[in-house]
Amino acid sequence: MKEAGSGYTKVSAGYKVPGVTLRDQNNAPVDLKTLLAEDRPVLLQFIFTTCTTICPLLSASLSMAQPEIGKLAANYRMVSISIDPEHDTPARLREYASRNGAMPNWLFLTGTNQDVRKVIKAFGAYYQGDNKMYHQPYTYLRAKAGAAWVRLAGFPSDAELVKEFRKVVSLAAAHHGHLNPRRVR
Amino acid sequence: MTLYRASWVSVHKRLRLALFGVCLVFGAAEAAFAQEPAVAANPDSVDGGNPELGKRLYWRGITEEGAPFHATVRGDIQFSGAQFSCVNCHRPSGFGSSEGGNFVPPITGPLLFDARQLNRNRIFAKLFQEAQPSTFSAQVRQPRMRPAYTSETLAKAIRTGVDPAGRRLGPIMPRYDLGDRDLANLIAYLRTLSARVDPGVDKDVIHFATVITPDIDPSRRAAFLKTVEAFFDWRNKHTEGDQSRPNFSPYYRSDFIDSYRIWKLHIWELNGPPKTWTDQLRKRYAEQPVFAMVSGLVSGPWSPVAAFCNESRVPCVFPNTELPKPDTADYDQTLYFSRGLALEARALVDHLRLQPGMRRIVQLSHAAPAGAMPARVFERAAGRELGGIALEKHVFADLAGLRGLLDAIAASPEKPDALIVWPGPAAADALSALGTVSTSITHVLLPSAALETTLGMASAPGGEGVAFAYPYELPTGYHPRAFRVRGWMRTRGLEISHPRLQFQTYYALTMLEHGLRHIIGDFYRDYFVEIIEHEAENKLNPGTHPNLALGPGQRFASKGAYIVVLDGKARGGFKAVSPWIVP
Repeated sequence: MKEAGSGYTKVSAGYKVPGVTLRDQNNAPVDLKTLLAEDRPVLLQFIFTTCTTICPLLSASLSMAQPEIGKLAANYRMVSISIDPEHDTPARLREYASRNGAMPNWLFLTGTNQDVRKVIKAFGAYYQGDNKMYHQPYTYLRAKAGAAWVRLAGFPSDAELVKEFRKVVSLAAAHHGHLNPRRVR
Repeated sequence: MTLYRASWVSVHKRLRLALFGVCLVFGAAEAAFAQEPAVAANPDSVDGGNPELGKRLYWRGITEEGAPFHATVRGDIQFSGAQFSCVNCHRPSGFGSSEGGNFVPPITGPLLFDARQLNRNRIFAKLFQEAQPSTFSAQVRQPRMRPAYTSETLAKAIRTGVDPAGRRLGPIMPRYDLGDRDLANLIAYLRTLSARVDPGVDKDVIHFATVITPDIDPSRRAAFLKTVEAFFDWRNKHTEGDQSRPNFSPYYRSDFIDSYRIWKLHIWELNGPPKTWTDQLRKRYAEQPVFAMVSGLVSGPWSPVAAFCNESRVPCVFPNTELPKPDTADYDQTLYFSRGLALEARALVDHLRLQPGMRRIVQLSHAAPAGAMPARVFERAAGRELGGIALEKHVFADLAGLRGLLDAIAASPEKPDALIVWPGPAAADALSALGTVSTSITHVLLPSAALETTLGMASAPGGEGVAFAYPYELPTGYHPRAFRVRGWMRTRGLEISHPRLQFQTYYALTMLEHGLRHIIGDFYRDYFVEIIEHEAENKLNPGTHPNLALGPGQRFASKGAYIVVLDGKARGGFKAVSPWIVP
């Protein structure tokens, strides 16, 4: 699955979104299942605001890609879920969002430790020793409700992220939403 | 090559091809310059910078002109210093970080401006004490030998991502679009970064202090001190054992023999009022500098101690205090278990917000800091979050004062919907004074200290409405580490008379032990604190709190509280009536 000459790998899978209510950066409740059942393309990452090495890069990559992603699918949704939810209050997420020049389509979510753990497990992003310092740099892409997810592990460049997103949405359009995970290349 | 191979080509053609070749070379050179900004023509231009401005750039991404810098990572992801800067990955100490399988090598002054040397001790912890994927170990093991950086080669590396050995830096290292002045400032700062070993460390001994304030219950004091002393004794016996066998090598420990130190404990007993504590600490520190302060037992505000720790840059590792410095900032020197009474006050407000029929709240607070501080926090949070509810405040100085206030409430036909009491140092007396008043009010709310006093009483006062803020783990919580800690204490013949105090103290000492084990010979306080920030979450919680975790710059390991009520049938005599509230 390794992409030649790039800094990331790619897999495709279906994830069962747990029924949890999180809170966004404006302290509004967000039912994750409902959010991800919206028929629009989604880019999702797990981050935390005091993270040292990988989250700043992950968020910078989404930040940079916003205009191009918007051109490909104006109704896109970006979701950054905090894996340090007790520290990352809505106010802290708001500050983090503004630091990263987040446009309105980009939601930052926090919640209880238990609920966030459920989401992490559901997305196969569980980290060693239950210590957030060992979390992995994943970016999840999905074309529309019910479609398979593509998970990028590592740090794609801006062009690579946009290319992967384009593939995901154009494949879904070609297959009328009946996406066969194995056909995602 | 093409020219020589094509020997049959006419002279004309050769000339044209030659010119074309020259153009190609120039073209390539131009392209190279376009990609890699020209390194300063004047070799001195990146010297003589201002380290203070360099520090600002390193920490906050701000250039000399006051604007955020611009940089590129992974080839085309552009970002600014407002999003993140050097300190995010390289950390305050410059010793780097490791996260999610990515290794950020150390860039301290002494290491940058010296030729790269292989030092297995420095990577030992990263290789064997972290849960990282194999690609990470591979990165860590790469020798990446290079000559010492000069200002010029460092400037080139920061701008173009190529080190003085001609190798490309790691893919997650951004390329920075910085002018000569900013680079000069940054390089001047990097020269100072972890350039000197911190005080409190001799050739054979490392010094630590623990602080004890006046007015501590003697049995608590004894339980605390015995725990600290037993831990120091146990550590030192291990060290002496290893040092007494010169050629031992179990688990590579002989490799680290030079970094072994005997731990020397200094008990800093303070006396007099809190406003004199900072000065007393300064004097003690001047007599004997310590590398860090560990645990501590404080009655009264921690702020005077925090002030000393911040000004002397001495890390204070998890003191037992209910009154942390109220305006604690990220990267302050004290690491706390929680916000203590301030957290309890915030949790009570959150709890009351969800109670129906709330119109009038009465708050009674002791004049001492343990009463006044949470009362202030409660008042502020209630003003913000309990709109439309009237808050009446009264302060008392002693038991008689409290009794008078409670009598007035009892005599009044208009009962408040909630009564909050912050008894400060008089928790036991306050409870007995509550007496019958509490049965006529729906919500009587008290801090956790009052709960502990209640549990020690033969018959607990108060009616069904009496509840307590409780920022700790419930008796039903399960933490495997608790068994190990209890076993350790029993093995040392240590009586467990004050479980939470002793377990918290043990946790603080564990953090000290793990911090030192990871920094090996690099006795830099920033690095030590960074390790603790990283390790706090590593299943070392002895069961005092549901979850203990820090992150870079974070200073409170536990962030929430329960609201609990007495229940004779529940384990431990009380149970939660709220979820874990994180205000």
